[in-house]
Order: sequence, then structure tokens, then C-alpha cells
Amino acid sequence: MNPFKILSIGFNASKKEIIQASARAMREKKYSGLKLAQAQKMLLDPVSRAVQEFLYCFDAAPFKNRLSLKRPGGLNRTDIATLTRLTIFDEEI
Amino acid sequence: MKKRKKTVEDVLARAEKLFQRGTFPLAKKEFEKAQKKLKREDIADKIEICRREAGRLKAKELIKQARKAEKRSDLNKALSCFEQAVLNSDEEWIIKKIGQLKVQLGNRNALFAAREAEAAANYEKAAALYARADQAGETGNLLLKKAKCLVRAEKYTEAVTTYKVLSLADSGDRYDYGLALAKTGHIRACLDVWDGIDTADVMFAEQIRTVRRCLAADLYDRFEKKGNPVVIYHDAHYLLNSADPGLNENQIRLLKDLLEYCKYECINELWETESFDKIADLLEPAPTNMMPHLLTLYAKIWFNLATNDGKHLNTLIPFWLTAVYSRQIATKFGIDTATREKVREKLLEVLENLIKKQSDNENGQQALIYLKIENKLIRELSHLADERKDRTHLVCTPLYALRSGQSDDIIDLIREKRAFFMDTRQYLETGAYYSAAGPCLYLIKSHEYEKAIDILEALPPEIRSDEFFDYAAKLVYFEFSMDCIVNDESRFMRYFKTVPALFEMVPAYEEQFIAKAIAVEDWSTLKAYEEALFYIHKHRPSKAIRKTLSLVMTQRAMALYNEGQLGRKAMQALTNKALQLYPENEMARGALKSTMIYLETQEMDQAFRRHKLSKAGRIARQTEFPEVQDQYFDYVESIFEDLQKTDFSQDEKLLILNEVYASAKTVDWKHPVVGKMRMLLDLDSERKYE
Repeated sequence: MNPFKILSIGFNASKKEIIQASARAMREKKYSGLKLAQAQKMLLDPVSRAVQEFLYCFDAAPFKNRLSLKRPGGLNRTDIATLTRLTIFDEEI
Repeated sequence: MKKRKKTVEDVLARAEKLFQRGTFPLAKKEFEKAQKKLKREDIADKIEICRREAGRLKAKELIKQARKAEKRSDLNKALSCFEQAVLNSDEEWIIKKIGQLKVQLGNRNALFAAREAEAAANYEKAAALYARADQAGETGNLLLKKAKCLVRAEKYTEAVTTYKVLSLADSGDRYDYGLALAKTGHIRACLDVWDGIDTADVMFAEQIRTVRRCLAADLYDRFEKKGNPVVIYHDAHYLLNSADPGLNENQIRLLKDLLEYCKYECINELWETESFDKIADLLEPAPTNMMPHLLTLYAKIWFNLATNDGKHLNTLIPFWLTAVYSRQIATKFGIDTATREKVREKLLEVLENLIKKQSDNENGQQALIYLKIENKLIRELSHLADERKDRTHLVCTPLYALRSGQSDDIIDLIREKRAFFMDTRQYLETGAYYSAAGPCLYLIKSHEYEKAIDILEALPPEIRSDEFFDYAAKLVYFEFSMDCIVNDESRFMRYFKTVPALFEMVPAYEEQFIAKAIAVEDWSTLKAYEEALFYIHKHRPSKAIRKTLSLVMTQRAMALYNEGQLGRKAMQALTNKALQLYPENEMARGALKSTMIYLETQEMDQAFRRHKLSKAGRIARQTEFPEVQDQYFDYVESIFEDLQKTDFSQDEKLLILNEVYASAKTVDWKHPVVGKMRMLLDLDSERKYE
């Protein structure tokens, strides 16, 4: 049971957002009241929330932040134009 | 006689005759002769009929000739015949046939023309002519020729369209197709086609490198234009895994970053759809060194995979435990140590519950054993590393250490912190799990002895010098031997040779072995234990082993005796041997005593039966067992009582009584039955005297 998914909230959601999300989910009636209460409880308790975050949250930022997206020099797509047809394979025919 | 001149009637009659026979050309001639004179309308009609019918016959003949010519592929003659035939026939199919033949002839001419155009390097024209010839169903793969001409004419888009539907087996065709693809911007597709060409040509290799560099540039172009990260990832992965990507070190380094970036973009998308198996594919193979957030990701992914399939549990455990015990990861659990500790315990509980849910199957049962081992060891290592803050990164489970290549550093830490361990066993065992033989110990715990032995023996000799490895190997051999003993397998002695050394290292194993040996009851297992104990006694004699060997020997002798497989004397010999090993062996002593009593009693019984009273007396006198004397006097008493009841004469009775008394008094003259006999004998003497 992924409480973030049940309440449709991000893993950075504040207490206020969790409560608001619970109320909204109650109105939507997509999940049972018991499930929503459990999800809310899981996220309001700091120990339980840390466990849920460990289980269900993925943040790509730390992975991406350390990477360089600088375009390397010396690479030009137009180099294709320099290709001339080789005749080495014609001899095989 | 003068020949009569034919009249016009004769001519007409002959014409009619020929007409009736269907010989229309001759009939026509005769009718025409007659018409010159008669000028009749009916004759004119018949001439017309004859003309038409003659034409029809001619057309029939021409069609026959045309068909023969077509069969010979002489299309020109066939066409000519059909064209003549159509003048005398109004059949539509002949007209159609003429059309078809004209096209065929045109196409045939096209193939010749194409060859000529190709030879004259007019490739565009040649391509068009080949296409035309192909449509005519000419033999030979003319579309391939067309495509090749299109490439030569630098009409790449059309060439790609043509090649796309063809099956290419020839290197030349593949090369041209690849070139056309590259020239039309399908760079990756070009490389896919070219990768199948087996040639060492230098110029071709250089072209591949050029295209690969263009692909790298293309990847950046697509990335900048927010192209599909999945496709970019796969193309970058392909490029970086090529034997010669044609890139310099810096370009490779930066491209690797792009690859990683796109990979995490993909993971992000896959995470939303909970496609954990696809994420796992992207994450394999796991890098040896993992940053904390990557380790956490592996733990999460394999947790989700293991939730649905127990086969992932054993992969999950090392990731999960190492992540959960990581100091760096724990900082996200909470701001204070107490909260972090609570979260850790909760996460351990989550893992344990997941495994327990699957404990009804083999995966779950094995995972539970592995969890117990790994958790104990990482907890220990965590405490150990606490004393050296700079080594907290070494806190990982043995299986994780094995895949991350940290085992040696951890072993150094264990060795350095030997004083931390309660005893040698704990020290050696911890190190052993982190040694190269560690995986064998896991297998031993899950009772996979054969597999453990196989893995152990397959390990290269150069890694066997370590004390922890040595301990692990001895432990594996010991446990395997114990399993063989329990399962009554005779091959246990093969691996038992290192056991005395293991007992020397960790005497607790000796105690464990002794406890098991003593608890055994069936004689076949006792025999194996006896053999094993004998071996240990020979190589590492100790009081405990001697005592146990003595006990096991006695126990086995008794078990065999009780099952009727051993006689009294053999048992006496065995128990004597056991007592020699360990004179304080009370059980052996007891067994020996009862055997001796039995044997002496038996001998005494025989002596009585044969009326050898003095021999019986001697046995009773010389015995060290009061039980034998008691038995002797029981016999004497019964003889004494029986004698009273017999109808022997008084003299006969006294004679026997005297004999019994003489023997019995030498055994114990104070015994009551001896007293009784003496009294009776005295009374008799007095009576005689009176």
C-alpha cells in the first residue's frame, strides 16, 4: 500500500498537504475511508513516513545533478556529408 | 478426244462443291470466275463468305505460329503473327495479347537499356529501367540493381525505400543500404545495417567511426530537442558498447553522463507506472561501487520485485540491509539517532515480514536463513566500524561486500579489531563470512552441503591462504562430514581430515561434536561416530575425546548386543577396550560388570548342573561381584531345600549335604544357609553318637 499514491501527493508533501489530500480523497471516494485513514496515519507519523519514503519514493535529481550535459566538442552530425561511396564491395559481386 | 470447254455452270457447280466442303479460298476463286459472267447477287454474297472464312483460317494459322514463337521467347515474331492474325479476326483477346507482347518487348528492351545505362554510369536512368524491367517480371533481383543504381546516383531517399522491402544478404547491398540510411539521417539504422558486414577494410572502418561520431552528435541534437529519453538511452548505450565508438576519452566521458541522465529519466517514467522489472533491467549489471542514493534505489526496486516473486529475495537482502545500516542513508530517516534507529528497526521488520510471507516456499525459507546471517553480521560490523568513523562505508553484508569488492577491506578491519570479538569463534566466523569462502557458509546454513563443497573446491588456490578462508573451509568440511554421518554416508572420512585442526581452532565445535555423538542411539550412526572419534583421538587426543570415544564404543557394543548382533564375550572385549581408553567410563564399567556377573553365573550354573560343587564354590569364592555369591547361595539354598523333600535315604542325604556344606563354607561360612546345613549335620552326628 503506497500512501503517496492513495493520497495522490508528492513525497515532499507537508502535513497540511497530507490532510488536505485526505479530505479531497474522501470526497473522490476512490479508496475506502479505512485505507485513506491508514495512508494519512502512515504519513503523519515521522517514523512511519520515513519508512514509506524509503519504500515508495524515487527522486531522480540526486542522480542527474552530478552529471554533465555539456555537449562534447568535435562532434558534428554534418560529417555524414563527407561519406563517399566505397567500391570495395562492388568487387565481390 | 477433245476436252469439253467448261461452261459457267460447271464453274459455279465446282465453286458450290468447294464451298460445301469448306475449301473457301478455292471456292472463292471459282465463284469469282462465275461472277465475271453472271454478275449475280447471291454469288457476290458467297464470295464475301468465302473471303471472310478464308481470312479466319489464315488467322488461325497465324495464331498457331505466334504461340510457337512466344514459347521460343521470340517475342518479335509472335507479335508479328498476332498482328497479322488480328487483320483477319475480330477476337478481342488477340488485341490484348498484342498489347501484352508489346509491353513485354518494351521491358525486355528496358533491361538491356538498363544495363547499358549502368555501364555508361547513367545510374538514375538505369535505376528507372531496372524498375521497369522488374515490373515485367524479368528474372534476377532487379530491385537490388535498382537500389544500387539509386545509391550511385545519390538518390538516397528512393534507395532507402527500395532497400527497405528487400532481404539483404550481400555485404555490398548492406553497405549501400547503410550509406543511403546515413545520408538520409537514419544514423543508428545505418550502424545496425553496417554492423552485420564482416570486413577488415580500413576505409570502411573509418566510415563506421565517422557515422558513430555523427550518432553521438545526433544524440545531443535529439536531447536538446527533448527527444524520447528511452531511445536516446538505448542509442547511447549501443554507441558506448561498440568495440570502437570513434570517440575520444572526453567525448566518451560526457556521453556516459548523457547515457546516465537519460537512464534516470527513463527510470522516473517507469517508476510512475511501477514497471519495476524494466527498471531492474536498466540497473543491471549493478556497479561495484554504489553511492548511497543508488544503493537505496536498488533496495527499493528489488523489494518491489521480491513482493511479487520470491526468487528476488536473496538479491534484495544484501541491498536492503546495507542500505538500512548505511550511516549516510540513515540521515534521511530522521534528525536524531533515536528516530533513525526506530526507522531502521521498522525497515528490518518490513523485510522480515516480506520474507515470512513467502516462508511456505523454498525461496522464502532460504531467504529467512540468509536474513538471519546477514543481519547478525552487518550489525556486528556496524558496531565494529563505530569505533572507526572513517570506515563506516565498509558497513555492508558479506554478500554485498563480495559484489562490491569490499571484502578485503572489511577483513582488514575485522583483523585490526580482533579485541572487539568475544572469542576466537566469533572472530573467525565473522571473518569467514566475508572471505571468499563466505558463500559456502550460507549454503551450509541452508543445508546445501554438496553445493558448498563444489563451490569451495572450485575456488582458485591463491585465495586460500587467509586464516578466515581456512576456517571457513574447515567448517564446511566439518559440517559436510556431520551431514554424511547423520545420513549414514561412508564418504564422510574424506572431508574429516581437517576436523582436528578445526577443533584446535575452536574447541566449541569439539563440544558440539561430542554432544551429538553422545546423544546418538542407533548402532550404525554410532559406528560412524566411533570411526570419526577414533580419527580425532589419533590426531588430537584429548580427555574429552577419549572419554567420548570410550562411551560411544560402549554404547555401540551394548546396542549391538541388545540387537543380538554381538555375543557376550565380544561385548566384554569391546567394553574392556573402551575402559582401557577411559577407565572412569562408568557406563563401560557397568556394562562390563553385568557381563562378568552374567558369565560367572552361567559358569557356576553349569558347574552345579554337572555336580561340580567345588568348582561352583570356587567361582563364588573368587568372584569380585557379591551378585555372583548371592546367586551361589540361592543355588545352595534351593539344593538344601530340595534335598529335604527328596525320598533319598538319610545317609544319601547326609552325603550330599556334607559335600555341599564343604563347598559352601569355603565361600562364606557365616552365611545363614551354611549355618543351617552345619546345624543339621551336627544334629546327625549327635544322634549317631547317642
